[in-house]
Amino acid sequence: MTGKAEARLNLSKATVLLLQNNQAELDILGQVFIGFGVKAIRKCLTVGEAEDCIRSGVVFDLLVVDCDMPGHAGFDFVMRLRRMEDSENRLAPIMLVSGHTVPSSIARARDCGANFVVAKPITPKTMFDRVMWLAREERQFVVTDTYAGPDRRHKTFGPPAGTKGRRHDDVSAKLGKAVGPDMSQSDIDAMFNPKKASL
Amino acid sequence: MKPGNTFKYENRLAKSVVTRGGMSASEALTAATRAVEEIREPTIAEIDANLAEIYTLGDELKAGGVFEETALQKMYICSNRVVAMGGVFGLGELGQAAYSLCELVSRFQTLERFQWSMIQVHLDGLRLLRNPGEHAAAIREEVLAGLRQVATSVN
Repeated sequence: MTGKAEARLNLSKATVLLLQNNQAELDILGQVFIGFGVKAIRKCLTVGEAEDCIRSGVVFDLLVVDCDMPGHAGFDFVMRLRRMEDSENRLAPIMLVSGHTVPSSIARARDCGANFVVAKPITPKTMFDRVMWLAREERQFVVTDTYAGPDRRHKTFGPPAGTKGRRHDDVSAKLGKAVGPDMSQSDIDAMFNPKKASL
Repeated sequence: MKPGNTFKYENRLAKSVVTRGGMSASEALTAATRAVEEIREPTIAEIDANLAEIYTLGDELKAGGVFEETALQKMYICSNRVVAMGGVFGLGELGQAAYSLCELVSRFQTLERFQWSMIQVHLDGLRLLRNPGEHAAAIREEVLAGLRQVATSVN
């Protein structure tokens, strides 16, 4: 029996930026990524250090940013980064990590442009699952006057019934009447049952 | 307002998912757990330092007997650190108690009032859950349920 091969993670060539607001948490996160085989890790304790790393020209494959920085600095850092049109890093996957989150911060976390938020404590299992999830991320990037980041809709259900939608590729969830001839059963079978071509 | 711009882009992390080479989930978790274990002692010391500061701030709040924003904010920060670190080294319940204290303090800050007895019961809970092996699981769960009830009762 040939099952689907288990997905493996090769982060040996990945470059990761970690921004945490205290040394102990930064060390935990750093050790997790060392265990995952990452060799290039930039560890930052302040937004200033992180911005210096971004400006240095290094292209990061993943950023992990603390939600618990004083004065919501982590969210603001992500928002600024997503608007840096001259930096490749604006499109990098960004994971926010959060301990206790006050209600006023929840909307900021959603709207700052991060790919998603992970609750602390960050254990190896949690981080592995989330990195895998991020690596398979296929959402489009959205830039508007008020938001820059991955599409906040994880699933596309189309615009609400009765509305036209705001995007050029918005398709209504309501099906219209058929406009052409039905496909024959053999056409349908051919789509679902491909055969090897004999050359 | 300008129309939004939506586009596909290359996910640089995608190339890290491979079928050959690299690490399987179990290999990565074993290696990462071993790496994290190397910093167990300093991290536990850091947890204890934050707990000590929480208890000292508790003494200050008790002595003052009034809403004190600075002390509460420091207590929130220290508790949040315990939330982040506790669960990594088998002190998950301590982390949950610290989370409840964060919730309580956050609600006090919003309402600009304060009740010492509610803080005190959380500090007692933290002391108890710092050594989980000394108490039965049912007792620990009951303590946590009580703390959550106290924190969410503040409206």
